[in-house]
Amino acid sequence: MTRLTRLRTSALFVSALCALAFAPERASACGGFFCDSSQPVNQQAERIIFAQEADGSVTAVIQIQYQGPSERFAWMLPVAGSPEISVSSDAAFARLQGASNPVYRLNTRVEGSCGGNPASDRGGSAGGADAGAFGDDAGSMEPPVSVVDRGFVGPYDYIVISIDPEAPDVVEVGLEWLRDNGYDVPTMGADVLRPYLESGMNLLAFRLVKGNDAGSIRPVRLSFGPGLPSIPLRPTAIATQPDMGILVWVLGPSRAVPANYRDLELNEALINWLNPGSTYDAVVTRAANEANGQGFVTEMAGPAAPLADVIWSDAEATEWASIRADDWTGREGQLLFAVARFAQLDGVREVLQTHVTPPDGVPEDAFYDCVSCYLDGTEADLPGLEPTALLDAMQADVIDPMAETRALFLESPTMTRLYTTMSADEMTVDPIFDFNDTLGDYSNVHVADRIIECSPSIRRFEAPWRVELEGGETVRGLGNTWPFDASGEMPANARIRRVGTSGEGEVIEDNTAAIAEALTEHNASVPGAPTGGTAGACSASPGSSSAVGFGFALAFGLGVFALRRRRA
Amino acid sequence: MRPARAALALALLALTGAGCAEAPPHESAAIELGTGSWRFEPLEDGQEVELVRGAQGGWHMWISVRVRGLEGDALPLRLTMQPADESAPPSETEIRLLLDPADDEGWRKLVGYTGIVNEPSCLVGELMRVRVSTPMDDGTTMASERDVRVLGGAYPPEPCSE
Repeated sequence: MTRLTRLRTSALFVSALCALAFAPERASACGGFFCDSSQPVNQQAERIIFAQEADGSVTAVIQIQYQGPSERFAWMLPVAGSPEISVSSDAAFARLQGASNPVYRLNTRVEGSCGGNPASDRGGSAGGADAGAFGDDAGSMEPPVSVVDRGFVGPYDYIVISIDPEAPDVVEVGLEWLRDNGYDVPTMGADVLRPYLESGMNLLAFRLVKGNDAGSIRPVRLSFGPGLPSIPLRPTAIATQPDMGILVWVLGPSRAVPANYRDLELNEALINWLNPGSTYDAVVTRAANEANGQGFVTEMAGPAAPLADVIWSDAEATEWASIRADDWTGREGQLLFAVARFAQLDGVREVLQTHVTPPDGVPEDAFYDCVSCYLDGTEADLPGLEPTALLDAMQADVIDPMAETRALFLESPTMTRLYTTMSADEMTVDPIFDFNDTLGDYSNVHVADRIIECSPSIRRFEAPWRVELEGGETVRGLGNTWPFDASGEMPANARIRRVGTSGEGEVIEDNTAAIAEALTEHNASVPGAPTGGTAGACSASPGSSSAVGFGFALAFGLGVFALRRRRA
Repeated sequence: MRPARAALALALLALTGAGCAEAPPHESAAIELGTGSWRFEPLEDGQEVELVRGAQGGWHMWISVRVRGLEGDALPLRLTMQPADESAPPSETEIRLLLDPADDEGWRKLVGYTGIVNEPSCLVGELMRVRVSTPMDDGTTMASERDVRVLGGAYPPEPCSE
């Protein structure tokens, strides 16, 4: 084994999924884990699916969000060896997130009878390659840069290069090579690559193929060898916005735990059950801060298979198979109507751009935004459109990425969704996920009962209420105001644990007694329902239920956050 | 230098004679090297420690450290790893991480740090010297060091070809 090969295969950093992107003055290239703070690049979210297969090998699907000039897009990550690379689908992420978001459901009932408009008592609810070698020194026996792999996937042109770790400046050598070969990578912040490259890891870089705009950017899917899933956060600290959301789905043999991060159990009294989406992120952020900024909330854990159909349903698969099997010769217009059924999926527009020519006089953007709008009936025969080629492209670029993501969920027994927010100064340890064979499922649906304590002397919206949480705590309040928020004194974590691969873990901070005490004190300050009403008129309205599922504003962005977070 | 830390450093020197402390008595400043991803596990010389492979490549050992009697929430730590026979140069990493709150015995812990192992193939079965140190205000260093035997773990590296 040559030294270079050995170095590659023994490449360091368990955090090797180091998605880096550069966006300084010469490029707003971004999309991975850091961007330059001075650029108007909107790195909105970090969402990753990890799947560990039975042999231990890991697939990572990484969503890339980027807004900026397409020609400046570059996305890099150090990797060991050369992973299998393909594209995935934003639609899969959107569907998955929608189906696994935390839900806080408040079942409301009314005790007594409120004054005012009787109607207000009813149903009220809580608010609701060509391998080659290159180098500066063409005459050297071992050029410092060699191409390990290169190719095209979806809208991307990618390349994996190996850089001699003993080169005088391994980072500059690598980046200069990329620049010379048309990858618009800047220098700023590049030093974060140094430890990865000096230890012999390769550098994987993506750029958009000419003709694709930033809207073509899609998640990438990388298949690695065996190991534990990890997120390389350390390079991200170069430039990220405060409290960046990190949402991870981990698929594997059992419930995933953050091996080297803390496990956070939220104080549900701090969540505004009347409008949970308004405060959830703030509570998670505060909870993470209380854990030194390095903890994850487990939002859901359970069988993975039910989510497979959410991502790509049997009905969709059947419909596509039917389209695929049909003979569309001579009725290409009808085919385009059929394909339009899948227009919300990634890659459809690009397929159409490749295979369908706009009619004379129709602007390209308008046409590809709504191909069927410009068809003269579904029976149109469109000369030049080759149905088989179009269907093949749809299969490869649109359908397969959805089906492959679905397959990850079918092949894994358990899915765990974890969430946290982090700022730059907290990105000092790469989180690694392992699997715990003891912990059970965890529902993303949280339910509490709200009892409105009515009296004829007050109207319903003025009436005191109490919310009985699942954990047995009671929160009393008035009207439509939740009495606590994340800026208050009450801890955001009920418990902070460290959890290993077996057992319940160790509680390193237990705030349950403090929370109970705070609730008792608060509840005593909330007046009860006035007495003296006509109790006999008491009528309990049908319990109403409002389920509020909400997404996360996973703003990912710019700016180096240099301030240490406030800690509890 | 703050008087308290200077006094602490002097006391430490007196204890160790060389600026190197290994779990001195309870009330004294101390640093102790351990392992464990989620809880501190003490290490002894010769103890076997498994390599852990990250899916994206690379192997590490779980490193945990505990300290007491030292000021600061985020001590500057230097982690050094090298084959015990010094057949390869040491790899050094600077760490400055927030420590857990003190436990009942006054220990504050850094748990689950990934100590990257360079070129692990030929280290399996061999002794690795792991050292963690923190500088004192008087210029001395307090350290804890162990020689541990490297095991391949669940996903071992390729066999050594040398």
